[in-house]
Amino acid sequence: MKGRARKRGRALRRLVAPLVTHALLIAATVVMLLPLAWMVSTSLKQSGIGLSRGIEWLPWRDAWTKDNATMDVIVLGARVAPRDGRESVEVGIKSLASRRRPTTVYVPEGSFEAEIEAWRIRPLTGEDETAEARWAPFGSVRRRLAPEWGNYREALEKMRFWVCLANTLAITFLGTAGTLLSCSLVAYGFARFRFPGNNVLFLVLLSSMMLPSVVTMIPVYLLFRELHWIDTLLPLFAPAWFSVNAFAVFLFRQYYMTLPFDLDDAAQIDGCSALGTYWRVLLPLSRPVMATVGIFCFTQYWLDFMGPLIYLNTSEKFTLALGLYTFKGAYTTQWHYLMAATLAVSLPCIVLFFAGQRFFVRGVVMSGLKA
Amino acid sequence: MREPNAYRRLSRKRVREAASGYLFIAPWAAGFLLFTLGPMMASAVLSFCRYDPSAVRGTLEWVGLSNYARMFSGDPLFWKSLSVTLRYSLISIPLQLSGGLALALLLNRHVRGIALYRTAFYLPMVLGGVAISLLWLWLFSPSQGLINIGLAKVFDFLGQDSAMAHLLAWPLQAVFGKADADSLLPGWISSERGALNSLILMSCWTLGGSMIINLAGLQAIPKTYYEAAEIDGAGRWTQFWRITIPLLSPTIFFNLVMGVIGSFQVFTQGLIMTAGGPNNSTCFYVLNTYRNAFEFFRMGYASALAWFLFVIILSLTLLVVRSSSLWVFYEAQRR
Amino acid sequence: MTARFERVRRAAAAMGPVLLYALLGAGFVLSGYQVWRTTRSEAPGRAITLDFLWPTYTPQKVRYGEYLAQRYMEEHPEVYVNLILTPDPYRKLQVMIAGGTTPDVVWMGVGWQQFADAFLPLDERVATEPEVHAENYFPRLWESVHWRGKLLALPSSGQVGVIYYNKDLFDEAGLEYPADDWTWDDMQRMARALTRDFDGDGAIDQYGLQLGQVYLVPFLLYDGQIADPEWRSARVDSPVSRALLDRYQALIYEDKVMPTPTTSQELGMLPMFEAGRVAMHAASGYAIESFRKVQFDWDVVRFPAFEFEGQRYQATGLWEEEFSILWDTDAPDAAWDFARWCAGHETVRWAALNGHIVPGRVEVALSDEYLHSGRRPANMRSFTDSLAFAVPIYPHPWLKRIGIEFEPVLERYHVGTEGRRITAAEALAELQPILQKILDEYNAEHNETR
Repeated sequence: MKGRARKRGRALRRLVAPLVTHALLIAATVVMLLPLAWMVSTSLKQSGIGLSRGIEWLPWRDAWTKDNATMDVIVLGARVAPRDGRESVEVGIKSLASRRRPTTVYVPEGSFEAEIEAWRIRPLTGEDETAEARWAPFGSVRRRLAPEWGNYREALEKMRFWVCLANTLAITFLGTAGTLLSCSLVAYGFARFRFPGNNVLFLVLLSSMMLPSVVTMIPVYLLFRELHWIDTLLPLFAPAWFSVNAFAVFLFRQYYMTLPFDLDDAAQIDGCSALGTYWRVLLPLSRPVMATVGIFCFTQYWLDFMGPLIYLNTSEKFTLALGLYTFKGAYTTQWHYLMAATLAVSLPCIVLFFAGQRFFVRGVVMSGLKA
Repeated sequence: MREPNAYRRLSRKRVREAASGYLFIAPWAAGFLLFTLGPMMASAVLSFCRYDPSAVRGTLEWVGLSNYARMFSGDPLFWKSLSVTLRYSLISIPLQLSGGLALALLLNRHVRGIALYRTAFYLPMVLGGVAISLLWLWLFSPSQGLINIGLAKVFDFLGQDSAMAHLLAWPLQAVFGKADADSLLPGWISSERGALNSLILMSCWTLGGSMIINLAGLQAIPKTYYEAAEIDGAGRWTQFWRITIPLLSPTIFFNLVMGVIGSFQVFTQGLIMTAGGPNNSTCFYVLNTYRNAFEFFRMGYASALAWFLFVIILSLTLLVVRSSSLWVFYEAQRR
Repeated sequence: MTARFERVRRAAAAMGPVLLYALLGAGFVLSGYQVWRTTRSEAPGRAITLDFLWPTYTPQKVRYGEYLAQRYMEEHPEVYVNLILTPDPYRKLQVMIAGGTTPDVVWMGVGWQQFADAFLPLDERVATEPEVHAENYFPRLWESVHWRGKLLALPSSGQVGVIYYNKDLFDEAGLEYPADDWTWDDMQRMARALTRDFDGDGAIDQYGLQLGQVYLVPFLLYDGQIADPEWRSARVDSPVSRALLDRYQALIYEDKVMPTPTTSQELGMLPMFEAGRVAMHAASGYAIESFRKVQFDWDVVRFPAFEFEGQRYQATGLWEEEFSILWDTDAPDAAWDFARWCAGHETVRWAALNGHIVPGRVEVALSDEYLHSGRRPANMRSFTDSLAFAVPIYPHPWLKRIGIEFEPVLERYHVGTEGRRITAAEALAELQPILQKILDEYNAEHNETR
């Protein structure tokens, strides 16, 4: 009796659980993506419109038409009013394009209530015709979607995207490769070998992250000047080959310390050297952590702003993060370009993560060995 | 791990093991000596000097301990900024730890479209730079921002004077300040009370970072443990506390240490979004350091501030590391 | 079918590592090539190299810098102008100075004073120079490139704040356009007439006036300076500043003809004017290019005068652009010649006619071709006229510190916290000791070291 109830409960849970999971995930995803959606919509809007219309999720453009003449307008509000014995919508518009003052036009067709709803226009509440607005029945207002795809082309052109991309790719590739290789080796040393000073040296490694970079920035610059590395890409990725990324070493070490020593012992019995054990046994098992560090590093090098700002002088060597600042001027921000360029710049990171996240599955070898 | 006596009688095998160990950490040692140690020492020396980085003719002058004395007597923002950073760390570290773990558990399953969900949560990490700060400025804006417009709709629906609306508004305003004297809406970053909490809320948007670290850690837990627990009739809750948490403890330890190191040095959002305001409520410790270094031209004093912070972070990290033997469980214990 | 599929899958799996290594190899080769390509330095093949720091604020700005470098090199075959571009010239210069890689000539804008110790005084050179001389520039601008009596830069451009107004909205309201000699009373009256709530929902759809927070500073300075000319004693608190700031606060919170600072910030000041939601808008010449694209008719007028106790006060913000030479340049003569050329007639004229700057040179600014180019605004003279009473914002080496320490007080006056604001008198009383303390500290430090 009890068993059956439990069985039924389990069946029910099996049915409901995925639904709950999905609902939770979808809700959270929507929250995470909301700002992104706004970025996309801003990147498709006309210049200058920016935020002045308040919140609009789609790149609408309103046009007022009368006798084959069309002009772009801003819709201020609308109300339903009887006109010529029929119910119709009056829309308060403000011209972007002519000397006309805010005025109200008569929209003679369509399902009006629904249209107001669809347009998300604030209903006009003024009871009668005030001096402010001229309620004249003429013309019609059409709202259409007019995404400015050209923003992307123009933004990329203006920031010299392809030049910046080549430099960013080189820095990111060499920096990430260097970090993955050197940090995993060093972490292997810290995690798998006993030697005097292991713990102290590891603390020294951690402590290199504890001093705010604000005060080491200038000494580091002096160092690279002595190496004649100013205005080259070298200061941006070369240190990575010397395992300066303590974060990565720490993460690798923590991961290696969860792998049983049986693995090493078995490999050594089979005649593997220490390096061979690392290469043949630990490395294949550390795919998830490799993916994690790889993704982190890639993102970090891709978005790095301070490094390129300080070390690069000539525009042929600029990176994407520097290029993005073309649209955030000292005095004005070109929102539509900035958003378009930001999205274009982050696209490779998104693709990489999408491809890389499949490594977050339990290693096959591992479960086999434990069983 | 530590066996003090072992080193005294170094067997041949041990010597070889130690040699290999040194060989493996050699790249780091080289890098540390070459790129890290020098600049750190330079800033330590600077902390005893007066140094204006904007003047061409060197104005390096030894001033002894006076930079350190200034912290406690001559800088009204020292205590203020320290308390801001402490408050930030105290709230954001637990939030990041638990939030990141919860997200990772949520996303560590084989449901359809998991790749998309994971990407969505990592996305905020990728969309860096100036656009995101501007975006959040808009989201948080009291009268035009998405959040407050949404809230205003909710309050209108409930009725501005209804008990429900006030019940909802009260906790929000307690945490995030008031938009205006007689408004039900929170003020977010424009209010002195809410600015810091708003920045903490904003940092939750980038939980994706600690999520993927936890996700990677979860992969190292052998599935067989859960299968065994299932057979023994252990429930989900028991499995979580008895298997997941202990076996994930190295990762949690990592997140805790990095949380301490990272959150004490947070300042970029305070610089870009709020410029330390309103009324210095988001003047983080490192923001104060940054301003002294590059805007008030007191690099020497800034170095002293930085080294004081270094000592704080180091002691906290040592505390965590020392306590770790009590709660961090490594699979790879040597027999 | 399945067997074949399985075969293909296996082949792909076998190819996987090969593909990975190929990709890695290609990555190394290509990245290495890129690093090599950007690292090898081409010898300019010229006797003198001038490192020239230039900002990348906008694509147009970059073009201006490239023009300067190329044009000068065409005329001077012995000089190589090495254009150093950066999104943040101040930070960059700071690091370059501290790092010992100082450039020879730098572009600088507002806040150049922070490098006062690093720039070469130019008084002696100017004394014997015909084309670049005090008389060639507007006096206020020429004054603004001095610190404590020393000339430390050559000005090229003086942006000033003026009022842009939407003529269409004035026409609708049946108002006269603002005249050059208008006053704050006129401005307030017009702003009231131009503020509208079209749909009667209580939210204002069109504001009469918008003055950005940055203009608070000239208002503080309305009777001249917030300190004595030597910057030794603070004089923030004066009756006229108090009266003016009271008026300013009233425009926002009593008359409600000006959007609150929060609204302005959220909607963007420029977009609000461009969308016709603000009738009068204070901005500098940087806005011209953007406004030329809008289709309604607009013009500019200088800031109104403030009448107080029988006297007229007038001020606006000044944002100068200038060229400075670093103290430790290797080629002071060549650097001087280049800086002189950059601030000289030919280049300033070119930059002014191409919309890069508001010319700081008198003969360019007053020339027919500049004033009557046929493009908007019609009243181009407002800019040059305003140069007569424009003041730079905190022209002191520690201006950032002044700004940062003033900010909380100004914010409590301007925005308020949770709806409570302090009055102008309270704000000024708080600012006075703050500024005095900063000035004292600066003077103490800089008298010791000199």
